[in-house]
Amino acid sequence: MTSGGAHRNEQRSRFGQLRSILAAPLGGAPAAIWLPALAIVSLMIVPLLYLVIRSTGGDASWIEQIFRERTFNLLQNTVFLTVAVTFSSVAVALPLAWLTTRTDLPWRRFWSIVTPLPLVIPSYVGAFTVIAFLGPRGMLQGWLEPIFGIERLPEIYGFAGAWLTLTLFAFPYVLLSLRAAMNGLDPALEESSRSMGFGAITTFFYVTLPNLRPAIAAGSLLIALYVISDFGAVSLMQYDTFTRGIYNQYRGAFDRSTAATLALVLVALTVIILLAESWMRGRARYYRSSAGVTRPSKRHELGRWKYPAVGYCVAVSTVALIMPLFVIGFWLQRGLRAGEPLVLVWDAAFNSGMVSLLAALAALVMATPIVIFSVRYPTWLSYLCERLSYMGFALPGIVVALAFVFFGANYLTPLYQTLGMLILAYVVLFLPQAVGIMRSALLQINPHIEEAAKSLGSSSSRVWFKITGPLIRSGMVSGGLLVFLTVMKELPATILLHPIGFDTLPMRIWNATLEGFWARAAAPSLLLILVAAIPMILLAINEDRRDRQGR
Amino acid sequence: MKDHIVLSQVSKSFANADEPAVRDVTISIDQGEIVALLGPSGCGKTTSLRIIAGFEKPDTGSVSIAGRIVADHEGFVQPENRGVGMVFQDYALFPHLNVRDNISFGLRKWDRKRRKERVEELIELSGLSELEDRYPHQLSGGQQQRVAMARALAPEPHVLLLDEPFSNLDTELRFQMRAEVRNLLKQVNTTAILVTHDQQEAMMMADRMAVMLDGRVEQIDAPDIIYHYPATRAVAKFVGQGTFVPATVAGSVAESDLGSFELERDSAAEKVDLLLRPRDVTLEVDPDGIAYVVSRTFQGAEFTYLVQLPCGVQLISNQPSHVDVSPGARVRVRCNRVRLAAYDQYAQVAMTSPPPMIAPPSLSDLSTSSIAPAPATEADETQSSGHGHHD
Repeated sequence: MTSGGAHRNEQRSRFGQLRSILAAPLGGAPAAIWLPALAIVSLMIVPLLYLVIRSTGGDASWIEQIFRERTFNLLQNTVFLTVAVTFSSVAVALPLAWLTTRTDLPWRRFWSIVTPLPLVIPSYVGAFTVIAFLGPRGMLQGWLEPIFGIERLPEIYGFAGAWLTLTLFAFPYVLLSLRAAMNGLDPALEESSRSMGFGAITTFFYVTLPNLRPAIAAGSLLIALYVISDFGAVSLMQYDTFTRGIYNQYRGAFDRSTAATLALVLVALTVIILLAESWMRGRARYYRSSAGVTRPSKRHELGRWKYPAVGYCVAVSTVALIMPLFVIGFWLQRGLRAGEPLVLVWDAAFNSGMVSLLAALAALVMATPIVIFSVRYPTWLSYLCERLSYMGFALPGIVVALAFVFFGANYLTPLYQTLGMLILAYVVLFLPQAVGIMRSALLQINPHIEEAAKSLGSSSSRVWFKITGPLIRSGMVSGGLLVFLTVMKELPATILLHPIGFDTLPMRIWNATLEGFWARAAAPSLLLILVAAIPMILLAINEDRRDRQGR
Repeated sequence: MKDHIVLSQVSKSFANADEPAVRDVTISIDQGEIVALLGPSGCGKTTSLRIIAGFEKPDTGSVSIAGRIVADHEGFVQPENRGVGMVFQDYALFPHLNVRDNISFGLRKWDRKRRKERVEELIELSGLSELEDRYPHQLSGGQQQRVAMARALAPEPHVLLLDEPFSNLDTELRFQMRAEVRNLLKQVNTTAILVTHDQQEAMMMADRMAVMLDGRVEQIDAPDIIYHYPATRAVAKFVGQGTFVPATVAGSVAESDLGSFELERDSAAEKVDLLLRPRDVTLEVDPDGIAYVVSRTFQGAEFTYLVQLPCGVQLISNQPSHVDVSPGARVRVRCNRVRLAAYDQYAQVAMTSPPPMIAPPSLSDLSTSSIAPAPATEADETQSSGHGHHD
């Protein structure tokens, strides 16, 4: 090669480098992918940024707001409740997880299906059943009075009620996370501990439990986020946490920026919890080092202990599942006998189903470009895009709803208090579920399969519709069902953003319970639980089929 | 047709790597030829293949397929418009389509009758009859490999690209499939480029092989030329086993423990290294031999001996397993090759090219491109005299 040629070549390669740096954040993704992905993520962040501007922008009074005594009380209550529920949930779930995965518990498969079921009961439905049952003059008192002459039970409202309710209906989150971890634990760890002369109990505390730390951390994170973002249970139990404080401020005061300031403090609290979880997960790595086929662990024999073990499962299921269903059934038949009209319930059910369906479809459509961008074109930008789409997972519903109220009332006035706005807020809140499931489905598809299709002459869109789409279909179905299920139960965003006159099941339950009309709340509650149970069952079937296909 | 596939000064860097993956690669391949890209992992061979397929864009240089430029600084043809067939290491069969639908996937634009005939033809050709309705997960590794080949060949591509196509098969099946695939490719007269890190595979399959190291093509030649006359020390080290035996140059003669060799032309170098492959020498037990056996390893068909030469080098030598010499025994080492590759002691590249060499005097007349007759010294005589010297 002549020196001139070499020089030109060098120049061109330098230019090529410059071009590749500029194009680098897009990772070579086509505009049909990165443009919608970035647009959707921006659509999600802008209202939240506006919330920050709104609450801090006006003057310096927001700093005073934060340091008021009331803010401190809310903070104290929220933290206290979060810590208490997290601990009690782990305490309830740990024995259940161990019994249903690692022992010869009688009817083990039955218990492993039944124990997580309280998940389908929304916290506000749970709260109303707890009040109706355990309230000072509730159903339990009604049974006890003729026998023991008890005229009043202790007060249920306040911390005790909120703590009990949230524990009963949130512990399945940590249960599921622990079960997965216990199933995946390398049996060789426990076996080597046993062979070194440690007994079953010592082994559990010194080997098994430390290895469950990431699962406990992850499960606790879910519980903590559930508690600090819970609005229904704390409101019905009249326990002042941030969510209730924000709502009351928003409803009662003229100055809505106080609500925004409180929302920001709540976001800060969320960030602290996320940091705490990653710290608790620790620096140690946990994985099975043995390659090859996973060997199932040997199950411990319970022997005589199986009676208390079954008793424990029965007790938890009775309180968390049978009691609520019984209370609802009781008030349902009472209401029907008193002539409570069901027509309104059907209307609300139809509305609930419709918004949930629309939100699920919107979430799938919006998740698609984000997932493809982040999985197939990994750059810092696509990573950021994916991470930001998970934001709704950590943010309390009431914060997102408030952000949309502010932003919508000022900038999206035509959309304000329309169905479109409500669905947009749902998507921000629940997009992470669709992105998460679709992402893991897409990650399992070898990119070579798409390249093979391209080298056989298929355009990008044909590859998507003929190859990738069909292959991740079951992931998309799961993601859609999960969004449907969660939107169905969502309360605070619905309350703040619903179009006037638009009634859904959660709202009917909320309005009825606020005024203590248990009979009126019963029918929509039962319907909601049934509707929520259907996707749960479909999810289970879908997962089961995927497992058996073994792909 | 000549120059069916041409890569011209192709370079490619990745954003997250310091070193370019492919540097200034120039290769020209004829229609119907099978070329293997051989090299250790990370040498840029797969990147080169993906540049031809269109899955990667070269930073500089150009690629042409069947006379059409598909990538240069001005333009880029998408993979789906290149007429390139690709067989992936993991086969990348579509798991939701059966064998027939996998094979016909690339024939979308053909009319129905031709498509059906073509699929039947390939099923027949690849020995997949009766498996048409199976899904990929119901096939054995070898069968999946055949489907991947059939699917890639179906649209009659200009070139078939194979990326480590046999690495997922067990040893026995691998041997069988190599022969089978080579026969199939020659039968349909398809140009093919094969990427592999397995030298044996490259030698068995390819008409020519290109040895790639650190992103560059070090040598592209017929497999036997590359084995015996590596263009560089690096190629010599990467392909096959061997020993560099030092020799001292006097005028046009190089003297070593294995005898004197005449250089093809005068060399400025005072010292050269001669490349000896394990089968390039014979061993004879001789109490007066200058060399002795250090160790012996039984390999089944042969013994591998490590032989200590007076110059300090330990020579690797393979002998049929009936030649049984005990460690410690003195031996006479006789070179049985006509020509050897020689390298200036301070240089990486062979002294003359192509082919770079030295010939033992008595046999030098066999090659015209080679060297002048050598002085009448027998290798073993030199050894004997050397022996006296060193003892």
